[in-house]
Amino acid sequence: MPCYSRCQSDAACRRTLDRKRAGKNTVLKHYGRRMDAVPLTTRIIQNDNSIPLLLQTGEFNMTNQTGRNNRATMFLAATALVLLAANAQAFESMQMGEWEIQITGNVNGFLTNADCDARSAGPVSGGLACGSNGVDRDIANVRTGLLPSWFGFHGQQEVDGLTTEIMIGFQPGIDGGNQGDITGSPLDGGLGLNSENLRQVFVQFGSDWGKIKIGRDLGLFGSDAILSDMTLLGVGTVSDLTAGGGNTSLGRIGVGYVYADWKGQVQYSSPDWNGFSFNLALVDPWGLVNLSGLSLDAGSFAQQGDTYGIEGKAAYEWKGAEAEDFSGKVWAGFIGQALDSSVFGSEDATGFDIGAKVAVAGFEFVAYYYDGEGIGTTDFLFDAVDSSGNTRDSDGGYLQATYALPGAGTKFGLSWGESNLDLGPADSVASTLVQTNESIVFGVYHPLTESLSLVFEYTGTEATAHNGNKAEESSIAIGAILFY
Amino acid sequence: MAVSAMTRTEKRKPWWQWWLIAAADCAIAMAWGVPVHARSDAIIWEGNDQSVLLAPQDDAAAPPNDHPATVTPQEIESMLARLSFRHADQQADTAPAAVFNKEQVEILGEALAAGLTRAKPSQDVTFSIIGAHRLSPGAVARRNRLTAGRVFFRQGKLNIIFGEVQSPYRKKNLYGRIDEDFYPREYGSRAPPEEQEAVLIANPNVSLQLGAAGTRVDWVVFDPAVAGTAPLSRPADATAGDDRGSGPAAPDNSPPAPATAAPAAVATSEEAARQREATAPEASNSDSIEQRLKYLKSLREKDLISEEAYRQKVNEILESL
Repeated sequence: MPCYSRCQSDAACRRTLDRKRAGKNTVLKHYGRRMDAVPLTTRIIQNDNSIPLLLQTGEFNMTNQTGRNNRATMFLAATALVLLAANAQAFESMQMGEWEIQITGNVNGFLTNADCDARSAGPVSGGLACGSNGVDRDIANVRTGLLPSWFGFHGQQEVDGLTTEIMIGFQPGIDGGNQGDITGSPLDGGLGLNSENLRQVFVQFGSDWGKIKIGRDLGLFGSDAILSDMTLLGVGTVSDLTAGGGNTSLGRIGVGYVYADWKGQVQYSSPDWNGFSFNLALVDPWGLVNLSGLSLDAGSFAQQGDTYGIEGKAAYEWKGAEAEDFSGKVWAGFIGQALDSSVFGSEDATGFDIGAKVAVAGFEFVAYYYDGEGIGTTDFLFDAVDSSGNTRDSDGGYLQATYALPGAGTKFGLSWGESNLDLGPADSVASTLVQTNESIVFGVYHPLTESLSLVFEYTGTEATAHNGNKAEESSIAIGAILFY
Repeated sequence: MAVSAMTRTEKRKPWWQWWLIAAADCAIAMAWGVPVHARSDAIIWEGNDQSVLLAPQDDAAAPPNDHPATVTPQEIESMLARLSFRHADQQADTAPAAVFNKEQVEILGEALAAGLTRAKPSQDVTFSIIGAHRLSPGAVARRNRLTAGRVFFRQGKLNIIFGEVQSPYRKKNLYGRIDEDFYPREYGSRAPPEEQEAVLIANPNVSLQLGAAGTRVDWVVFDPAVAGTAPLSRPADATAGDDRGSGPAAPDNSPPAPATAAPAAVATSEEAARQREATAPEASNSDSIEQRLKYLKSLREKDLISEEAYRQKVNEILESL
């Protein structure tokens, strides 16, 4: 404590203080209870479904009574786990018998204010700038950012040369709902529940030959794009979709990359060969979503879902001897899934992406590009087929540059990106279907400690329809994110 | 309105742009393939987020090391097994704890010995290793702690500068990936650190480096030619089957022993000792009576040893005159 006042301007000192505090652990009582959560959480997961994140609204929670009860139970269990862990000051890697265990995650919250400007009389169907619905308004929220708050339980053990892991995580939002339906979101106020997701549940095992993962985890296609996105620690685009708060904002989802989303999968990960590695996954079939109102969804397309999706990625990563040395990563990936319909016949959704991230002396640059047929925009298979069941083409990408001040660690970032969606053969050239979602983001991310960062972001988003309709969103976000 | 659709089509990237981007990526990869390859050559041992690596000296102005050097794994294990420390904010009479456990000592002994034989004069051998340490004697739960530092051989002595001594080991969860350390790992520096979290304890085989600003409690020096590889004793709380928790020899608070008083090296280290003979200096001044007394005084002034222990050791030195 005597050192604390000095630490205000000294990152190394603050780090030392953090460590000292973290290091003063006491005897951890009842630690074994943490393991009790595993079957409970697994049971809850069985009631979960594969509705994409953007559609997992409070309305769904309200109507799914069983799921709500289970989630409430899980909240209690998780809270107990947090209290136990906090009591022991033990948010660090522990060894329980042969298991290495860690509880990890974050909590974040932001004040956001978005100015939604409908620049034309009509809507931009599928546009991500708020105001795409044709309504001018301002939106104020206290909300979670792009990165949902996170409670992750990770266990790992090695037996006879085989490393086995489990990861179970759920993602609550801080959104208190919109009592009275202020901004058009479903009723989910003080008597309701915060929104939450269950995104990560998997077992993984492997050895020198690589690893096999079975369970629900981040998809491969577009994963490095979102993991490299600076708005992951901020908010990015708010949009009409998440105007009511919800669990997360959009960041650069749909304005630079297709959301990788959280998918049931069986994934093989190769070993790291001097920086080279690849991943290949069979994923749970994904369903078509009609976000714009001008597309077919899984039901109207009579989608059969009879084949697995497939995703893959190859990457090459290098690191310098020191943190400030030249380091980086290049990657290329693909996605594919058959879209079989008993009414419209068969189509294929295929896409590829490439990206590069390099860093040196505090600077970091990211360049990313994707292209696909039938993969849609914003999320996989969103608005991917027209009203006659024909696939639409799409592409997009983003550029990003950040610089972290030496010593203080404050990071300044600027990024630009867009996602484009072509018309399908059955679409009218005067369609209000979104043609381009584009945004520019300026962000400042200041670490108060190694765990806690303050965030300021300005995001300007523009949605343009094929018929020329436009909507613009200007949003400011101020908040904090704490990793534990 | 057909123009609109046509315009959209024309915006799509032609095929050659894709290849251009791909080629740019490949060029970056190839351009930096050399340092990546060099890094793979520098890896002595890696496993489960731990490593022993060859790395450039942290200070470009530092005198070159006497590398490559031959030090046997047994000699290194003998040194590491006896190392103990206490946290900087603990009282001086707090019982010191072993820096490494048995498994770590065995791993580092082999890997550091191999690294020293491959290192160049401008290189150090850095290590980062994680060990499970009991929350308290007899506790079931153990916490994983990170210890990291750099090792080099110079003027007949093995030097270890610690950057981390049983620091909390935590990984940051970023969108479900738990790859990133909460704290950048520190491998120690020849320049004195601003803050000291752990205080290493000298013993008859290991001395603390004397720096311009006083004794470096993060830098230990070991003379393998004179320290020997005596069998290790077990700590009182070691239990069968506790492979990670069983510590090395009980910590010893004694100040560094004079070189002439140390036992001879055992047979396994004789060859290594012969190879070092050419470069080993004569008995260092740091072993003189005067320096030992100054060293004891500095320890006492830093409140690292009690008044009683200080007087006892001073008397022992004076009686040996």
